[in-house]
Amino acid sequence: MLEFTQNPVVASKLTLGPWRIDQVTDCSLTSISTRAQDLAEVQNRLDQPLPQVGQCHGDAGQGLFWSAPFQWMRWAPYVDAPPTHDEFGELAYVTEQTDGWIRLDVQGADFSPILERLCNLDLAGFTPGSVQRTQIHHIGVFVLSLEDRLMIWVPRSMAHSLVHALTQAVENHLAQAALA
Amino acid sequence: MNRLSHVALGKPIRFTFDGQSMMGHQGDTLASALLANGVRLVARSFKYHRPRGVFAAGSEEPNALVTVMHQGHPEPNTRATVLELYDGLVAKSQNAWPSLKFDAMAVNDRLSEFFAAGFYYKTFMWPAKFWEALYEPAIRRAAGLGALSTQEDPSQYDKGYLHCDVLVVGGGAAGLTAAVQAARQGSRVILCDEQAELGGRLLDELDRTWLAQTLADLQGAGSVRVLTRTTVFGTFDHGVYGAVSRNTEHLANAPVQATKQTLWHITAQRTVLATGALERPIAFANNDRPGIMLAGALQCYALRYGVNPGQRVALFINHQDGLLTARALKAAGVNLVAVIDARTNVQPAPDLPHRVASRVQDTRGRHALRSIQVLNDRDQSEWIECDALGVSGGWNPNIQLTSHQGARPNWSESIHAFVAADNKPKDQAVVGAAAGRYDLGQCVASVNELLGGDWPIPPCETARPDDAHAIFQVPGDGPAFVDFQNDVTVKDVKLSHQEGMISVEHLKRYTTLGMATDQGKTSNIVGLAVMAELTGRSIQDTGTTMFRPPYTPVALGALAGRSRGLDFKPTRYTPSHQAAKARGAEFVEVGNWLRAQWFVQPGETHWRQSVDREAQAVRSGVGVCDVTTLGKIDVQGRDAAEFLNRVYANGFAKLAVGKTRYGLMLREDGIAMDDGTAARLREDHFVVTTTTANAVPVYRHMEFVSQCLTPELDVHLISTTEAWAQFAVAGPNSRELISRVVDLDVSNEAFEFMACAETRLKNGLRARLFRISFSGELAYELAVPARYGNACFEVLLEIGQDLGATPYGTEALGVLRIEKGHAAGNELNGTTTALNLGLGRMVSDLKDGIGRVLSKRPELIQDGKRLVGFKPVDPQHSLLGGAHLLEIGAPAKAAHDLGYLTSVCYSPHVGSSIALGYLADAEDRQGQTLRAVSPVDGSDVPVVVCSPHFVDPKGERLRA
Repeated sequence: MLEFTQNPVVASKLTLGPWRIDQVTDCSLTSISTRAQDLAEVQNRLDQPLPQVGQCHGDAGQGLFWSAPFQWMRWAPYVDAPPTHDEFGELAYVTEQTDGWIRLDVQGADFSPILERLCNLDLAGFTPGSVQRTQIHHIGVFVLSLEDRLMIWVPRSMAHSLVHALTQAVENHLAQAALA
Repeated sequence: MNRLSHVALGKPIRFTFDGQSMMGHQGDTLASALLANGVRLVARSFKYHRPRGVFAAGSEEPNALVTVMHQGHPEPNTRATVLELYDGLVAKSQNAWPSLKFDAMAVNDRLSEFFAAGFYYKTFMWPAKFWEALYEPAIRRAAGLGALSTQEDPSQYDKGYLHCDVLVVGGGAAGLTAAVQAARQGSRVILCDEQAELGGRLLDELDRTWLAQTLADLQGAGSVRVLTRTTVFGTFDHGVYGAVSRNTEHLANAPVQATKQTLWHITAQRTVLATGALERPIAFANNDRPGIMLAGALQCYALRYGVNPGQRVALFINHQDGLLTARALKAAGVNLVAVIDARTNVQPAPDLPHRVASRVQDTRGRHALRSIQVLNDRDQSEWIECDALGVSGGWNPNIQLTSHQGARPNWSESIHAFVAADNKPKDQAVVGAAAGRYDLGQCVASVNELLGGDWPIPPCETARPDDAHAIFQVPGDGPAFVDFQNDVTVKDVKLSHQEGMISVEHLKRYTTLGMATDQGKTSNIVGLAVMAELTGRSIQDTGTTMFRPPYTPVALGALAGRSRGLDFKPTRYTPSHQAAKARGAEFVEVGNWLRAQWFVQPGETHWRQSVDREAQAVRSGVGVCDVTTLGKIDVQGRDAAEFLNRVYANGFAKLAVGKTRYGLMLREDGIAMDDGTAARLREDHFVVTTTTANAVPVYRHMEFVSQCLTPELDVHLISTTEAWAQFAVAGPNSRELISRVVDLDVSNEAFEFMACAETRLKNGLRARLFRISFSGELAYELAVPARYGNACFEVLLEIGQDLGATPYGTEALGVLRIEKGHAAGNELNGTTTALNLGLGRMVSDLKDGIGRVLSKRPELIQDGKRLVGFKPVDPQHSLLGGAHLLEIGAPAKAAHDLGYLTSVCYSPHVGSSIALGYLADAEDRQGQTLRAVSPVDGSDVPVVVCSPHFVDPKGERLRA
């Protein structure tokens, strides 16, 4: 029998000052792409509305976020069963994205002082239910604001660079805060 | 200590200047502390090495530049006027040898007649070759600023992004009023000020009641983020402003992690410029002696820092505000011996030693000011002893930020100064002194008008800019400096005019006026005024040079932020990185990826040993190579096949499900763009692969085609490059190895060449399998979810041990594809066509595709170069990529060029160097001997033209 272990995680219970960062491996990600005329029917099949531009809804376990015109990403508990064409037929096209991205959850204090050093987000409007495609340390990421956490989806190959950037930004912030 | 009694000094702290230990106080700048210690000579000038002292009290300072040790690292050209004093600060003067007081290069001043503007251009023209070797180095040694250490800056810098409704630049009277009012109106406000303390010039007043009340109002005003020690240095597109915060430069021992500076990218809906005004000097003979400074600076040092600027102090003014300065100094206890006023239409003020209709003609004093020569309206001169002189020729609104987008300011005759142009950025408003409304009441009123507020107008003495007697220079015999930092005099301006420099831009470049690190903050207007006088034009017609960012110098470290060294960019690891590292891989950067280049085995001491072994292992057994980095694009939709028909030169509409096809993509201009494969997993689902380098450009191109060229097609694109770990499994034993892993019949009959399938491994893991070959061997590419990439790589090598399974890197990959004659980036180099590549028949005329029409241009059709192979006549000879091909005996000149080598390697299969290259009339030259000539290393190697397929030209192996 072939024994396949998973690649090591890039962050597990990583405590940085008042924040904790974890890679969530038990989660899948799927893109859903449709057209204007099929949008209503896709929402019927999903039994929920698809988020508007810049919006997301869901919790740590599952949810949806807008990612591009007529394209959404869906996160859900991980299963080793790729999404199939059957789910929507020609109404929408799904693509397995799970391992293209690593999910990093940031929990703890308000992360704004760090985010403002990392990415060009207007944080005043970035309330729970918001998502933004942006760059952190030259890496294209999705940043989601949920009620109890920030969820960052980062391309797998660069996830360790992102964790390094987060760590460095936190260190810089804490050292500056100590001066005040 | 030269201190006045009205200021409560902070705690005493020690610092050193040029090795001399001195005492200052918390709250001092280095400039105020030096003045308090009686140090007036602080620098030598740029060109003539004239003694110079502190001239201003802010970032406009042209003279007092020093080198400061910060965290053990010398920071040259630091303005002493903005450097906050801290305990243990070490500062050194610069541009002087052997010492500041006895500077040998001061001889330049004696020779200044020879060093006028344009001197270098005329004098050092001959012989030309001496310029770089002799003249320029000598000039650079003689003239200059501080020296760079050439050591790496140990400080850390970071960046950040801020957003607001209203950005207020400047924390003086107008800025504070604007911030409070905007916040009370519900706006999110960011207030930036370059000083440590808010208040601007209100800090230079004895009565700070209004300031204290307004600061208290600011506390409760609403959403206001205050950034002190922060200079907004540039206006950029779409309401974006650049700002630098100085976090630790005022601290003795800050941890390096606290970052020395932060570069802010501020996006503002609206910006209020309350940037104040800068005082301008008046040019007169020897107006640069230490002790002469701007009148406002005198007031600042005396009233804010409690520094007595001199035992006998004089002022030279031309406007009413100068009298307010005089009274403030007097009230602070300064001994005012003369107030020389150029105005002729005013009566002498009885409370001051006020001399109207007078001017300063000349000064004396070797290392510092001793006396001034005053001329009255009857041209009677008198020498007055004084050791400090404050000069004020009026005020220039600080409008640089309004001009960074290209708006040239307007001259206002009423205030004798430039004001913001009407075509400044639409999001900007200018208030207070920056709008030429100088006094406190006018500052508040201007904000009220802008924001519709009714903030009470405080009572104040009115500054009357309109009563100024415009005076920019006093004719005299000695050097009258216009630009102190670049040592430009009135005489230089006149000379440039004599020599035909009519445009103000020419004046600037000929004399270097305004080109120093202070960007002419104190010099530009005086220079323009002198130029206007000479040309007989108005100042408006003379115009001004363009202000460009940055307002004050910005360290390169701040611009880089955290992106330096290994953090310059992210690093991309392949899924099998750890396993590769454990197996001795040497890595190579491919874009941001780190790919295994080769795997060093025990006993291998040269990379060629590793690469040859790996290539041979593939040819004889089986090799495994991580090819995850190749781009993967998911193409779905009803019109997916038609879409691929458009983006590829060759046809895809009839590709059967379960099959893969090689595709060639052309640019619009018919040049080859990229090649790869497209696998049809379903009628409406393809997976396209690209080269590693073009993964992003091809995806971007396809999105462009989809959104802009073929919006009528139903196509859905998304990258899956990172989702799948993909491995090339190549070699005669590859089928056996794949069959041990994959739960699929991979016999030649069931899974023939170019087949593809979505499948599962024998452990149930989902996978994709493609029977494609880059090496020319029987080969597969196996894709698994990326999280299992490391394990998959290990397992393939483990269970294929008996088959000779060998990891191979990008170097062996290159050898194998050159041996097979497959094109890669070297051949798809942005200048070559499908015809050049020998793939002309792939450009289908049966359907339309991007690049098809322009690939038929006569110039491209007539280009007879084709991709062929080359071998050295002598197998011992090496070949060099890029070498040009010439006939035997032909001169090595472009006219005889027949083509060039694109890819070169040592082929263990052939037993010599081999090459691919483009050759003119290639079909007629098969078997011919040519020369591969490289002017780079002087090599000239006879080569034989051959087929590009050094291995299995009929393709039997890959179909086996």
